[in-house]
Amino acid sequence: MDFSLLGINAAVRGMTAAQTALNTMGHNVANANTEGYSRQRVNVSAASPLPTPGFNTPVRIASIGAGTQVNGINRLRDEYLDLQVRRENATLGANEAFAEHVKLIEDIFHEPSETGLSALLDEFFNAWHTLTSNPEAPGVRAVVRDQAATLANALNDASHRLNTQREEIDGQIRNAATDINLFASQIAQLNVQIAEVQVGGGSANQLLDQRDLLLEKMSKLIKVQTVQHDDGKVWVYLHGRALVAGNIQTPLEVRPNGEGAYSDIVFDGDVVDQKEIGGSIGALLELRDQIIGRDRYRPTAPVLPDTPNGILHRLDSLANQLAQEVNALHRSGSLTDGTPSGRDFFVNFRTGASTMGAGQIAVNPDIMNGTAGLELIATGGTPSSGPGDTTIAKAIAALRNKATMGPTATFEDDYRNFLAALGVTGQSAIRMVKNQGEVLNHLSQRKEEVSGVNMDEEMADMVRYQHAYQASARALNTFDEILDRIINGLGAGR
Amino acid sequence: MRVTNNMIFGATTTHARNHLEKLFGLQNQLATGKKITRPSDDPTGTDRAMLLRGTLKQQEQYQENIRDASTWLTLTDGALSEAYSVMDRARELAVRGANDSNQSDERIAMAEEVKQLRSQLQVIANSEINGRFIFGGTMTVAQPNRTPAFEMPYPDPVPPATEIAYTGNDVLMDTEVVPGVTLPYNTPGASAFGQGTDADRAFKVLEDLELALRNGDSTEISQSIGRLDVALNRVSTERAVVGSRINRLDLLENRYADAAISYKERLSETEEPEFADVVSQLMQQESVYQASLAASARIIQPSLLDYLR
Repeated sequence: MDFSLLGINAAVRGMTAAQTALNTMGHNVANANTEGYSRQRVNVSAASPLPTPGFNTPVRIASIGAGTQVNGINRLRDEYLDLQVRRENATLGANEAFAEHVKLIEDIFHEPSETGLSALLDEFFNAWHTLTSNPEAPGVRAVVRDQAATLANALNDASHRLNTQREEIDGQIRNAATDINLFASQIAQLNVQIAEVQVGGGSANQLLDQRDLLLEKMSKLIKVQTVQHDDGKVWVYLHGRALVAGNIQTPLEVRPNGEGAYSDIVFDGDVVDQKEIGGSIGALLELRDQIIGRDRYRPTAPVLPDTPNGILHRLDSLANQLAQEVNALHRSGSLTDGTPSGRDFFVNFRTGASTMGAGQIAVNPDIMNGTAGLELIATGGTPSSGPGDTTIAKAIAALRNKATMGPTATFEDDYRNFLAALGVTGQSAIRMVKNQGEVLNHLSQRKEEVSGVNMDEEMADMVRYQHAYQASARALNTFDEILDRIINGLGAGR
Repeated sequence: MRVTNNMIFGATTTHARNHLEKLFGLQNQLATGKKITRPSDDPTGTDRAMLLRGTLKQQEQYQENIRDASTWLTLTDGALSEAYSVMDRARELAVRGANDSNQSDERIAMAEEVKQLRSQLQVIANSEINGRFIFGGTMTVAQPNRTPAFEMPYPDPVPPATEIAYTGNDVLMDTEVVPGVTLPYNTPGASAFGQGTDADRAFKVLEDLELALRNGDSTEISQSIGRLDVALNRVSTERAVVGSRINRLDLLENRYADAAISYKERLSETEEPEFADVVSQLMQQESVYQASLAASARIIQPSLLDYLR
């Protein structure tokens, strides 16, 4: 039988392993609430045994264990779940942006209510109706003028707030692009560090966790694909082109677009399409350029194509059509004293043009001018049969039920239609946020199942490794006693 | 399934948030009395609510138009009825005056009364409502039956009929009472009291009668009875027209009043929550919320640490 200090080594190794495990346990507990942290486990295996020759033969007949050895510390993580989370995140990000902004747009219109634009349109036409019963009364004329001014103000306000919201969305797009560039550069750096650690055979757990977290955050902003390479680096693709290629990052550029005040996202020399980029940036681009759409009456606007389904466009068309219909009638009418009017009722108060959007419509300042202005409201036809002639006032009041916005659509029909369309967009976005939230919740639970820290487990491990440590220490103690006997209690040396 | 502490905490907060969100929604419904506060809550419901509210607003306006026209027509009816009795009284006097047995001073007295009756008729023919003259066609701001020398209301001495000029016109004024349907509401003076210098124009007949009575011209007096009949007939025809218009407006107004009730009901069905429903949902949601909090509180507390050593 051979004898060596083997036993001491085994005991020491046991103590070291137990200590490493306890350290890792402490690390796990400390990081239980750290975002993106994956729990770590000490990878332990039995150390290779020493070959032991037999009594009569050099052939190995048995091996004595040399104790344990720590091979490394691994993080517990299911990479496939990460891929799924990244994929679903883009949809969630997009719908969250939709839901948030559609709500804001809805707040602008404040419908259904007694105070929204539709109520103001009703009041406007009602005022003209009342005027048909009392064309001579200045009080009733004042009501017509005030209702018209209120309606015009409400249209101005809606247009202004929609434009402001577009500017805010544009700001969010620019911020998101900055965030993505920051994430991408951090990922590129981490790629380098991780590759270095892994080449040396080490495990870069913390760095991997950090990189996964960055990828997860990025995946909410844009639709990314990732490819894991053997050297430990992750390549990140946006619509088939590398955003991060190993340690090289291609940044997104923010460049003013044809509208001047607004920005395009440029990637690799091309302006990215909202469908290609996806995620919340994609949704924000769609909100800015399609759902709200461009204000074609803005001085800087006409460089880019019109967006006929945008809310601004629909609102502008409504305001313009209202102005054109009312003006055509009003111009052809005559005043109470029988003189022909020839005057527009609504004017473009910014440029004086004959067409106007919601942001430019106002009641003719001549009409707004005090008591004298009231007399300039045309009620009679031309020629007028007398002060009681209300041909024009009736015709304007009847515009309410006239198909002015299409083959069958009245002003209010048109307004209702586009609000309902907006409501459908909002409703489906809210639903998607709920569903997608559920999906991600489920995925993150599964991730948590694999990677999360359970205190009870860690406590149990603590007890286990504490005992293991104590047992190894006890073994060492025993070897010490044996050696003591051999060294100090035996032999002729004494 | 492996459960971690973070999962429990996460689930606790998620569930609490979800329950609170639902509670908040129900509380909102109760507090505002609305189940639709924005189009995305219910796009179809929003569309319907807006349509119903628009229709209601429009119908309220039609009701107002109807009330305005009714007031006008009722006043017209009253004026015409007065005009009828004035002219009927004149006819009575004419019938009496035509009898040769009357003394000339009696006829003079009758002539004086006829003169006053003519003045009264002029006042009636210049009736106004809120400063609008009702018998002037669209010439609503000036007295339609005017004498240049004498301004209303009580010309004295009574001017000769030839000087009472009709300055109004024959234009009918109408108001929209149903989308696309208008109803005329005024009676031009000419159709109620006769045109220009026609012999049977009410003012002219009365003046001729007065003159005939003064002159004791029995033939002329008898002839004026016939002309008075024509003038009376004209007034009663117009009254019939006015009456039928009032009836039509009454019918429409009743219909709108009924429709308003049913539209309002539908609007509240669309927009407002069922109170009892929401309250019971609220109670239910409240107990679910409390149960989930209680369950979380029990799970979060203990850990293995409590039982070690």
